[in-house]
Amino acid sequence: MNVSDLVDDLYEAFVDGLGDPLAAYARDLPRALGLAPRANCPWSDVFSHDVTLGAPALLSERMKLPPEVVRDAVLAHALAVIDAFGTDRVEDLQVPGSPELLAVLGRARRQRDRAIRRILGGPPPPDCDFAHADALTTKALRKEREVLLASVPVDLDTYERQSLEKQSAGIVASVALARVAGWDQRLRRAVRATLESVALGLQAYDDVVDWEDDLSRGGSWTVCLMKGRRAAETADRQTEGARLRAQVLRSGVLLGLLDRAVHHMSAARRRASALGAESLAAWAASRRERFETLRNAESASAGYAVRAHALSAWAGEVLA
Amino acid sequence: MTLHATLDPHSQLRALYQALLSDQECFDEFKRLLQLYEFTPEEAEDEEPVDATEIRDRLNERIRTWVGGAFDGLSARQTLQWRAIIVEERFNVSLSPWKEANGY
Repeated sequence: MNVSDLVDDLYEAFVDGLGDPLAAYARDLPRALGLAPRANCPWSDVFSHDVTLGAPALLSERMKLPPEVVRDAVLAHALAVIDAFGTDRVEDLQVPGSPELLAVLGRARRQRDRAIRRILGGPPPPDCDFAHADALTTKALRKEREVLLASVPVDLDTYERQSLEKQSAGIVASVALARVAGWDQRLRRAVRATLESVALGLQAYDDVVDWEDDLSRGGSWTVCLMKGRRAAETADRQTEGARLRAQVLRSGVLLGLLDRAVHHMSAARRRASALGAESLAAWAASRRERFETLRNAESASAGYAVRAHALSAWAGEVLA
Repeated sequence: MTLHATLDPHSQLRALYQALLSDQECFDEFKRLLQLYEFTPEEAEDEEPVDATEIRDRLNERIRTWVGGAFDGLSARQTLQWRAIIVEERFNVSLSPWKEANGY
């Protein structure tokens, strides 16, 4: 199964069902949300891997389910994640909450909920209920904004808990699929834990390479974590520009986050493999290797991971 | 034979890349000089202003220091490409800030 094509086909079918003029807007949603540089970019081009929008398909390798059930789970998952991106960007005032956008997101939520009911054959139990995940996500996003705007010190546990709550919607459909496949509670917990490890690993990496961009958009978890590490010291409350960068590099917070990224991707690989999700396990292994290389380089030269990210487009074009 | 003569342009660019990757001060200075490079050609034949040439010369001198002398120098076109990537972030910013993560 080509997961990227499946996601694009399912989204296209969702868009077609909206009718004009909403369909035209929905087709260009990645650009409207600032996730793609060009018009009508398919969702498969927005992310560098299939996990973000196609996780249920990757986890279903050993589930022995009819293809239409897996398709419904991918549909529910992809629309849930797209809705979460859109809602976050509206609440964060990064994009205006236009009537078209709110209408498309509303329709996405309805389609998502219908798909999950089709999979389960009725109302979802709490661990498969998007309403519960939505509530957690909304609460987490508001809390995140408070923390980042105030730039308060945080510890690693708080950071990872917030990150998981924020990404709750990305787990529901995969757990529902496991339930329909007859997997017991232990296996369903393993599905959840696998996706949580993936989410935390990717989040830690992104919070390393994008920390200055995040800061310019209103706040950075990396800076909050650095302050948390330096809580016993006399951290400057308002430090900007080059001085803040020097503090972040000196603090070792980037190295610490890359350590966590390696740890979580190792766990994701191990768990995915135990669940028979071999392509997901292989992908997690490759990300782990990449993160480990970056961590080692970061250890030798503070700021390496950020510089490598800044130079990656050029290196890909010129040095390939 | 000098080291300069033994390095092809691709190897020179690789050496610059390695210097920028491995040293934050090099990276910061490189970025600072690119920010000072004021040249926005509208036509292909537009000439580089004298001030911009001076900045580019300074940049190339600094690069030679970082890579140990073996560097022919960035052309105006190459400097504009670097500025687009490092200063204007035109290549990276066009991608999703969550290109890797599914965090939102």
